[in-house]
Order: sequence, then structure tokens, then C-alpha cells
Amino acid sequence: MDIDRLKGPLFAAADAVAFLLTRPTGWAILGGILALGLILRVSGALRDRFLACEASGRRMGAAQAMGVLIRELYGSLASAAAVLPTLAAVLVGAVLLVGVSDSIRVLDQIEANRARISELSAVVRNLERRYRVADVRVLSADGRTARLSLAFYDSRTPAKPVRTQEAEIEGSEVFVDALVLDFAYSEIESGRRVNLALPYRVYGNLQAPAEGRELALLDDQGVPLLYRRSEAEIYGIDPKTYDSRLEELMNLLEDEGARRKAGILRSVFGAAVRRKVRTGDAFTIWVEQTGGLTIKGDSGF
Amino acid sequence: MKHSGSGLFMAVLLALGLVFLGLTALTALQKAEIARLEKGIQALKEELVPIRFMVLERDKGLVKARVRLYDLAGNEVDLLEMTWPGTELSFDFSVVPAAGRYLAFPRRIFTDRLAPSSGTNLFPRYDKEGFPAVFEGADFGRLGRARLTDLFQALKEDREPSGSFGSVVHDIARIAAFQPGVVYKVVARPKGGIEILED
Repeated sequence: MDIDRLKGPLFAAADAVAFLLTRPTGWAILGGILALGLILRVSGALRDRFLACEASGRRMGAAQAMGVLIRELYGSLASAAAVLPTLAAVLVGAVLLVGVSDSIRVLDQIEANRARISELSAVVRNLERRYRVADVRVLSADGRTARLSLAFYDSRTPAKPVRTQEAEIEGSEVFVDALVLDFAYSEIESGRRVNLALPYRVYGNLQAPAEGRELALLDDQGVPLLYRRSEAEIYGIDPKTYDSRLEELMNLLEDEGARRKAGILRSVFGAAVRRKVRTGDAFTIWVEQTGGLTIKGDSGF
Repeated sequence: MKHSGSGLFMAVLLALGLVFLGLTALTALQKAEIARLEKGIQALKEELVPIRFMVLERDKGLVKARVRLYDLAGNEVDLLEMTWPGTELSFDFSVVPAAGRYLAFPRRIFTDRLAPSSGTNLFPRYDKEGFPAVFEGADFGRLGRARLTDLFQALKEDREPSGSFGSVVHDIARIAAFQPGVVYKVVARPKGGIEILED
């Protein structure tokens, strides 16, 4: 039996009872019904008496009419007193009906709130999430140059780096530069997409970025190297799905019009994080799902 | 018998009342939790805009731009209009953790053809007797202002406060170049990320 189908009539009955018992208009309606019943009863009795008088050839006087009125009023009050326990039971039943109905409504509200809390918690989790972009280890640094080991990660396979590379920069501060795709908050909140960062260059504070070390962002087919894998390496993902993801990503990167039209990208820009380095330093670069790159938890690996 | 019947009835009524009160209290708690989560989401998406800029011209390997610095209340702190060698414009920030969030101090502007060390230093442009004027417009209290002044002093002396890092945002000529005549804003997020959005 579908309980939900009973809710409609139950709520309607409870609403009607609540209206009649708690609203002035409801009281007026109840009073009106009682008054109408009383009027009908008194007028019926007067009419009977009037007909009886007429049949016996007498005229009904005012005192006689008043007597009938008083008797009927008294009779009504006596009848009401006699059915008082029944009335009380009906009243209690009505209150219970309203109580049960309100409890069911509150239970429905609790269920709706629970679903909303679950949904909002997922949004918070998705927004607070960050994905590892790269681990940087400083192999050597003398203030003029620094030699780095970089390990790059894909957000879909965060357990191990997809590539490692060594690079040398000029200066005491290292800049790791990436192409960042920040998606619309609606996409991030729902978990449909994650912001992406594709590292493509490292440089030092003593060299112009254009003179930095390229990290070979794209392969000869224009696909980011980080995302280009052999079939054996994409275990767990259908190769066709993987290829379609790549294609979608490349379309987004290449077609400004398409990405605006799609309304899924908030911004596409270059972002670098920098850190003054000494030999032995290590740090991790993250892409935040609220937007942008950060360095957090230096002892993270 | 009659007494025990009415007593049972009252007990049932009382139990129902208590259940109803309990359920009402639970919904109140749930509503408070929903409000807390919604506030948290808003806080995570909060954006501060320390810089707005517009590329005026790109010609012969030079890029000319107008850059405005703002405080937390959105008041303009400084305006600079300069030409730099190069095509890609980079805005460098020092990002410092403080009071459970991250603060972004605009540090310098450089380009793809200009080394960061040769870039335009922004610190003197909002140094108001030691206090970083980009953080005016909010009530930090006396201690908070002193702490911000100390942090700013450390950054000016090239000392890195614990947990801080540098963050640079820029355009990429072949993929996403800043369009001349379009106003862009640099947005600092509470979790330390910085991004560029069209204004």
C-alpha cells in the first residue's frame, strides 16, 4: 500500500480541523453551524406549536412562544451536556489527527533536510578538495642556479606520478608554471569536473619566463603529455572514454568560443607558484578546487 | 478501570507530544546545520580583488597596461600605467597564511621577456607608513594591523613567513591572451589560490 497516497487526504482533513479549531474564521463557521441548528430547531418547534394552536382554534401568544423558545434552548443545552463525552472524544480525536499529520510532515521535513545536508556536505567536500599537481625536490641550489627533480600527477591517478623530469633554473627562487583550467563552480560543486593544471615550464627569478625550461606540454598531436598514455597504462578506464575525455579537453583548450558557449569554464590562464629554495628542499604543488594553485604541506612526501 | 483508561490515554498523549517536540528540535538542529554549511560554501567561494587591469596595447614586442590596486573595501589604492618588454603579463603575489585563511600581497609585475627580479616592484605603491594599504577597509583591530605591518615588513625584506609561497598569474599568448581593451580582475581566494577572471 502506498502510504504517500494517504498523506493527501490526511493532510487535508488535518488542515480543515486545524482551521476550524484555531482560526477566528473557523470559530465563526462552527458558531454559525451551531446557531443555524438552534434556529432550525426553535423555528420547527414554534411552527409545530403554531399549527397545534391553529388546529384547536386558539391563537398562540407571545408568552407561549417565549416558553417554547426557552424550552428548546434548555433542551439544546441538555442535549449538548448529554453528548459532552462524545464531543470531548471527537475533539481529542481531531487533535490527535492534527498531531499525527504534523508529525508526518515533520518526518518528511527531516528527510528533506537530511537530503539537503548530504547535498551541501558533498558541495563543501568538492570545493575543499585539492589535487596534487607536482612534487618538486631540490637536488642542488647555490643561489645562482638550482637543479630540480619534478614529478607530475594526474588527478585521476593520484597515487603515483605519471612523469618525472629534471630541470635547471637560474636564481634562488623557482617558478613552476602551468596552464590552469578553472571550471564553473556549478561543475565543481556537483563533482562533475575538477579544476586542471598542466605544468609546462619552470624558470628562476633571474631568468625571463620565456627563457625557462619547457616541460613539453603537448605531444606532436597536440595532446598534453600528462594525459597521453598507452592502453596498458589507463587500467580501469575504457580507452574510448579516455580518448573522448582528451578530445574534450583539447577542444576546451583550443576553442575559446566553444568553452564560453559551453559555460563550463570559469577561466583559463597561466599560473605559477614560486618558492625560494635550498638544497634538499621539497614541496608539493596543488590545484585548488576553489581556484588557483597553492603550495601546502611541505613535508607531504 | 475508568481511571486507568484515562491515565493510559494521557500517557499516550504525552508520549506523542514528546515525540513531536523531539522531531521539532531535530528539524531545528538540521536547519542550523544547513545554515552553517551554506555559510561555509559562501566563505569558500569568497573573492577578494586586489588588482584590476587592462592591456592597452601590444606592439613591437612591448605590452602596455593600466593596473589599479584596490583595498578590501574596493577603494583604489594606486594606479600605474606602464609599458613592459614582452607579450605575456604576469602578476606576482606573496601568499601568506593568517587566521585560518590566506592573504595575498601584490608583489611585482613582470612579463615573459622580463625576469621576475627585474620586474616592477609593487610593495612601495601601497606602503602606507609600513602598513599594506591593500588591507585597509576592514577592521583588523590594533593587534591585527600590527601583525599585518610585521608581515609586510618581512616580505619587503625578502623574508618568507612560515607557510607562505609566491603565486603568479598571467596570460598565455597562444591559448588565452589578455584582450586589449578588456578589464580583467585578479581574484584572491581564501584557500590561497589566485585566478584571473574577466571583469
